[in-house]
Amino acid sequence: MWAIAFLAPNFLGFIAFTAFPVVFSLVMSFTNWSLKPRIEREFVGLRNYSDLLGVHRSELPAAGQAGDPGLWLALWAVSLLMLFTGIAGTLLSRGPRARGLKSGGALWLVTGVALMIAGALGAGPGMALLGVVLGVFGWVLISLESATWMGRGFAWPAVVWLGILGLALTSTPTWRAYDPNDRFFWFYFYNTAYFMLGIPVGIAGSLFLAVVLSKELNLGTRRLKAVLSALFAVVGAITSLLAWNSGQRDVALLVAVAFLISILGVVWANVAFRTILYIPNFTAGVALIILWSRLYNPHFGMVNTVLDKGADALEWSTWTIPDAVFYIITVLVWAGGVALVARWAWQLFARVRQDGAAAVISHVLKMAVAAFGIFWVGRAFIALAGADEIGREFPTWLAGTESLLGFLGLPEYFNNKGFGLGAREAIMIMGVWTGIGGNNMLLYLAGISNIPVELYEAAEIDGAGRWARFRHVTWPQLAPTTFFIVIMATIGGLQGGFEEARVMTLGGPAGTTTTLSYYIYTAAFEQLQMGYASAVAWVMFAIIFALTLLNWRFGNRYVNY
Amino acid sequence: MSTTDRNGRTGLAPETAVRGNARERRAALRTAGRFAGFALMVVFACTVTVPFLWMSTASLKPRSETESPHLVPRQSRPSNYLVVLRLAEDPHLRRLLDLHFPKWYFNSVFVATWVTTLQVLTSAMAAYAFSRVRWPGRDKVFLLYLATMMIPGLVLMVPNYQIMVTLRLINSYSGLIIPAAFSAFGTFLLRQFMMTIPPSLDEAAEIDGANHMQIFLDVILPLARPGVVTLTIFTFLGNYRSFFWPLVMIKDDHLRTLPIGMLSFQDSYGNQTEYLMAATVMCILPLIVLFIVMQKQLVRGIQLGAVKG
Repeated sequence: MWAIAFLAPNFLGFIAFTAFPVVFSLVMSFTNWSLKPRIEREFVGLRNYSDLLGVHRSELPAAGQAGDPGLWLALWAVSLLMLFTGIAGTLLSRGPRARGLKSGGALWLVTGVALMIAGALGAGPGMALLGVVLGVFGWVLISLESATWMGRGFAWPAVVWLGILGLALTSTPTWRAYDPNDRFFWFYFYNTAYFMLGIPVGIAGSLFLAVVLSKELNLGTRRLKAVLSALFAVVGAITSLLAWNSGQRDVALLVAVAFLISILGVVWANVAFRTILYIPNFTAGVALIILWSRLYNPHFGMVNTVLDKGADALEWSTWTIPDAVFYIITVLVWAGGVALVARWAWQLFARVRQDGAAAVISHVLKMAVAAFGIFWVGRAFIALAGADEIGREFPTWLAGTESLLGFLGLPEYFNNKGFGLGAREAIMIMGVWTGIGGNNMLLYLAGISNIPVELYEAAEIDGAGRWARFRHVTWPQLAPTTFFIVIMATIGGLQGGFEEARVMTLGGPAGTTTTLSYYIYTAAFEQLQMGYASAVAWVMFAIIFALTLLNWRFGNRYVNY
Repeated sequence: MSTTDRNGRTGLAPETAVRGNARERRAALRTAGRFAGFALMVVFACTVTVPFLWMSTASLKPRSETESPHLVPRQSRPSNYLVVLRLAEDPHLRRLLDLHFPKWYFNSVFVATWVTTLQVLTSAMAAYAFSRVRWPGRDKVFLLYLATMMIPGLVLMVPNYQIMVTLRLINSYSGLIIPAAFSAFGTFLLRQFMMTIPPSLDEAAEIDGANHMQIFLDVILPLARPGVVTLTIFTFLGNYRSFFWPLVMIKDDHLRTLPIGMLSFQDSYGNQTEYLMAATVMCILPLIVLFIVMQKQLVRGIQLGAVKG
């Protein structure tokens, strides 16, 4: 009796605006429901779904033509096959030995490396990048079992992410051979997956901030704090005033703000930083998106102004600093790299006997990636020595169709001017800026504060350094938090991108920023095809459900102490 | 343990002295690490702040300077704010802007307040029924409730819109308020809070002859206050910046809430960056103030809500 009285208000609302609409929506998706009064409603069965997901054969472009998919298709078919065999292999191989896992991973790795070499030999950057993806995938598969390098909580989410990436990449050229009935849906799905690539970056950033913030950042006693803040105030005021009077008003303002933040940091320490970092998340919404659309303005927006200043500084340094300095830096970087790789090679000898071949492969790959990266960093300094002018072709951001992955079989207008940064990257960067100090950081902070101090003390007695303590104490202990965050981020990411698309770009340019949610909006409220929009929504729901289940099923295995 | 004198000599055995030095070195390292972390945080905080800084200075620029890449304008024009608030005429058009920014403000706060009140009330009551009243099948029904949280909002938007069309609630306050007044999440959050309240308290009240209504109002609700506050703030915030639903529901300018108002602002005055930024400042500033004032409770609420979830 009482229960009914207490439940009634909520329950009625629940039935009217959740339970009934769910059923209604499902019914709608099997009809041609429209808001246009002239269209007669009728049951269409699965037609909406087949329009959405189905494909039909189309004429292939002639062999040898620009869009010839033959070679690509074969390549993608092979890699798709490998993706599924890899997944199947890992699913089937349980138990302590889990041979299939390791050999499957090794197969992936070898293919990836081969593709990377092929890419480097002239097959193009797309091939090389594909190789990198495959290689990393295999590497993760291997490290899943050995669990020496990647850590336990990270491995499955990483596999899921790379799987999404692989699927998104592999599905693109097939569009050309088999035209989908609704090619927009797949393109927008690809966009959504593309946006979600920003999520791991954001999570890693949040974790980093949380680790730094979890330490007491109190600089000292009350007296020291007073002295420090007075010092900051005086120095800040003087520098700022000097800059202002010499006409550098922007610099003056920035200096003043930096010192103000420092003073706040001295006085309130962690609370001050936590508050400032959380503000973008708290104020997120249309207003902030509008602000960023102005920041991205290619002519007067702040982002390109900063890039321009950075290029100025680089150019100035190439003029004033003697070339010899750059060469010396290059030599130092390379020497350091050689030392690092040599050390790893030394460790490798020890590994061979212990862990066997699979660990060797992952180790060799690590060394190769490091050597490659260090080589290019060194090269960059040589290039600086020779450079007289730094290029000023900056990204056009929200107006740009450039894409970091744009050379992978997408239409011709995707290219890599302006560092490959286009509208999608702009929105991703904004997302990272907004989310990095947000709820995820707070959750990680709470997680870290729950880790027993004894674990760190024990690790310290064992001689663990900063990194080792993070790797073997913090990271595994945070696995439940990471698990929760990854699940929530996956769910949110698949539904995301609506506000950005509506406010910043209207889904453009060339549809590159249209996500599934914006597609549903346009289908339902611009074309008034409620039935079709419902079908899209249900497909999205199915994808979310499947991914969550996958995360749950395989992430859970790594959430244990 | 080891005492080191001014000259660095120790009066203790060499072994202890070595250990003491190591400890000192570790302490010094720790201080250095603290300062490094501090510097790092200052850098990050600056990165976060600079866009807001750009926003504030851009809102003070005169029209002639909006396209300049400089941060600080040569002349500042605070009257931009008055123009946006329709308290002063636009000097270029020589008339008031034909947008109702102050009205949007009111609408946002009005709708969010109503939704929050209703939602907290219905959620608290349902949470009470799920945590304190015993009835058959309670936990199964609760699980079902919980499961519906997985349904993406977008699935519900389309049919809900059709319902609103049928009920003729399009383009009205009630159309914004009523569908948002019930939430499974709020019920879940408050139920989790109420479960942590020791049952002996309301059993005592029951023995004293209190009925469920009295227990709910006088015992449980006050004790679940942190949860209620958290839910209040997040519901308010979520509705203050809710975008999708008002966007499809509202057609009249005088019924717009802030987010969709800002959108129409951008559509009609997109080139007047200074006005747009002044409006943005006015949207964001109350939130910043709210957060700074409430931050202790908020942070705890977020962490609690998720840990229990």
